Amino acid sequence: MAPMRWPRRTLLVLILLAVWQWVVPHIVTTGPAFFPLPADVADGFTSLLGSARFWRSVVTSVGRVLAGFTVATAIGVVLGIAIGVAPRVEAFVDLTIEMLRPLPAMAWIPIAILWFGVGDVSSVFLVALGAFFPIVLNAAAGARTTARDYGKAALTSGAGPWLRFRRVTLPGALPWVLLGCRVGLGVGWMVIVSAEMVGAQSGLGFLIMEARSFARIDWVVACMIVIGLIGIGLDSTLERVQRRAAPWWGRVAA
Amino acid sequence: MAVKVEAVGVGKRYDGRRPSDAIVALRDFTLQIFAGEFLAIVGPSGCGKSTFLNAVAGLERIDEGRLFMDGVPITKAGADRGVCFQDFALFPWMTVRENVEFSLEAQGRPRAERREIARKYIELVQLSRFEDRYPYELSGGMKQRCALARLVAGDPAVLLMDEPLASVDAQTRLILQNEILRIWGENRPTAQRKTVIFVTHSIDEAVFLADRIAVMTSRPGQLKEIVVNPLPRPREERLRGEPTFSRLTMDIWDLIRDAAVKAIET
Amino acid sequence: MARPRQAATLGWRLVLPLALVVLWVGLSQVLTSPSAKMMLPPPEAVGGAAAQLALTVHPLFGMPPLLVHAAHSLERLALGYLAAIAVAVPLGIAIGYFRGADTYVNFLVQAMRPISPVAWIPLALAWFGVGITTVVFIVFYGAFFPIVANTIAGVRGTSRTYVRAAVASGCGQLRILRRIILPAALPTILTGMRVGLGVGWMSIVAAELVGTQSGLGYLISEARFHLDIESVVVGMLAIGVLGVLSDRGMRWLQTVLVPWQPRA
Repeated sequence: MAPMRWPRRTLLVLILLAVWQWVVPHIVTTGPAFFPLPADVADGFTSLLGSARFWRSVVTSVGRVLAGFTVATAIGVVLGIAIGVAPRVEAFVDLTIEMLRPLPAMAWIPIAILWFGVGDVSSVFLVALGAFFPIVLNAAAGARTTARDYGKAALTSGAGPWLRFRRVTLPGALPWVLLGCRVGLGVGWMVIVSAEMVGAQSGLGFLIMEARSFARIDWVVACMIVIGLIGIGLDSTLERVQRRAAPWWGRVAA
Repeated sequence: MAVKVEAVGVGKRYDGRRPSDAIVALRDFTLQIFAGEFLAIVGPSGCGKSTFLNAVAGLERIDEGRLFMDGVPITKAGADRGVCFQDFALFPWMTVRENVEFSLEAQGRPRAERREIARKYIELVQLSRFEDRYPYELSGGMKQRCALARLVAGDPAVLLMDEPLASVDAQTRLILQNEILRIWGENRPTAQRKTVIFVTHSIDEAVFLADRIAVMTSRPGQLKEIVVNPLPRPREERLRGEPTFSRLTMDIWDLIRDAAVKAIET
Repeated sequence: MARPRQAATLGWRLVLPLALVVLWVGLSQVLTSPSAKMMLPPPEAVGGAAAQLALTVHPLFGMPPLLVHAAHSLERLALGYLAAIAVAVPLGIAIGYFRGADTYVNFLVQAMRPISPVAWIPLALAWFGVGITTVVFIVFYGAFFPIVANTIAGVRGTSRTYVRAAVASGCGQLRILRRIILPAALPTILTGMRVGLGVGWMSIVAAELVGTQSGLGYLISEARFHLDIESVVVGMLAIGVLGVLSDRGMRWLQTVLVPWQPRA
């Protein structure tokens, strides 16, 4: 069964594309300006890949997302692990985190523009804000769970606080931290596209809005595909890190 | 014989949401465990046997009475008392060797020495071929062996085992019972044996392993009787078929049956 | 053990929020220049804007503007979200239950998933124009994937033993689906619906920032345009409060619909 799946799936996709290219135009008569045909998108894609502006936009967006993500990871991991191991720290920050968390990062876009203007700083701020909460919450859960499940074993082995932290809490929390990072990076990527649509003069989000205002619907679709591909690339990179750093994660451990 | 661990009138209660929910886990629990002795504690679910073990380990505070090791009050966990947990609690991010080495690392031994000692114990539990594997790659019985090696590698004076064989299958269980006796040092003179407190549900396991069997009842957890095991050492498999073995098992069951039935019903 | 300390920790928990409020009040007393007020509005200004937006009847709408915008956002959220549930749950069950749907539909769904809802905004604007349809579509798209993914996982995760027990007691296919697989998958589906609602909120704000003339997202975008930071803050607060309320509602729904699941 399994080996037959992909040829059949490919066939299905080809049929769908063919229907889209040759049948849909006869039904939807508003014209290719609204329903870009596969051939148009392919053309748009090639011209996009050939333009320096497109590549600059990619570099700008990815750079912003990585910068914001780095900030969020640095603060989120340290704070999260502190929350997980120290009930006092948790009590100190949990109300504040719970009050800020329900607000989607997108709702910060207008105020970020007022505070930092249009451009890199507000973009990085927004990405960091969006990525921070999944990272800090997962890091805290990881440290807490590790202490619960393995704290006693570490204690009765006679290990001191530093060794327990270094050899038990940190490695135990690592997979959770990486999971939080993956979610956070995904949110960050969503946030940056949104932020660039409203509050930037550069980046993929700006480019796609511009393509729309020039009625270049083929570029819009091509940009969407690129946004999706970059999202996959970012996530699979972290997934690989996760598998390499914690091969035991997700298996029946104990 | 020297007293290794001593409990005098130990009491422990868990407060519930309301006063009526409070559970008395241990009441007036007095027991002496001698150096080099293998003591088993049996009793129905919820009789407080794990609570007692955790208290000796220094993982739980007691509310009443006193608890000593070598005449010194127990206040916190320490490397002189090793614990083998029911779910093993092997560190999933460490290989078999790193798990076994961990308590040596805690003692600050140099790397080469650590490795050598760990190797010896890994060999003792027949896991040499698996020393670089992670716990998830091991079968249940192998995990248990790894936990045993980790338990003894740090050379604690007292071994505390909390139903260590509860999660392995029945046949592996029989095999591991022999291994526990071997690791404990059954073939050595008493002076060189470690002190073991072994908590279990299984009466025949207690009879096969222990020198003395402390029988507990539940709600509140109290010591009902201490049964001295007349079976000769070294314990051999054929003893399981002896009339003495079955009679002893039956006698102990008679002691706890009523409490066990009550434990199911509440 | 933690019980007697709880009274003490409550005070400790309030330290940071109170400190932030004090800092805000203090800074707005010190920084009184017009440009500073633009960056950090004093609390009384935010309060004034909140009263203005929430209590003063707008001559055009016949209602306070904040309520109008909130109602519009909630209406779009409800439409898009309910549509997402209506499509994603049956589709997820089909993919989880029937091999054919898994082979030929699931991979298409998975291929669409990486394209985030916000990336669809320009195309949706081209298709549907500025207005409610665009926003509803974006909410639908954002909420759809978590729900479908969890429905598939829930159906697939149903223990084979339950199914076998049902077959052994003479259950037919449909009854197994209705009495065994659906209830067993329900907790997972509800979790997906909760995540989907969260993504829906993100999506609606993003879509309203550019794709409408009303709604809370439009409100804060427009206020920013007029450099009216007080209204921006009020709008953000409204979004946050509605987000919390809808999440609480979902949590309540979980306890009502799955009474047999022990609560953590």
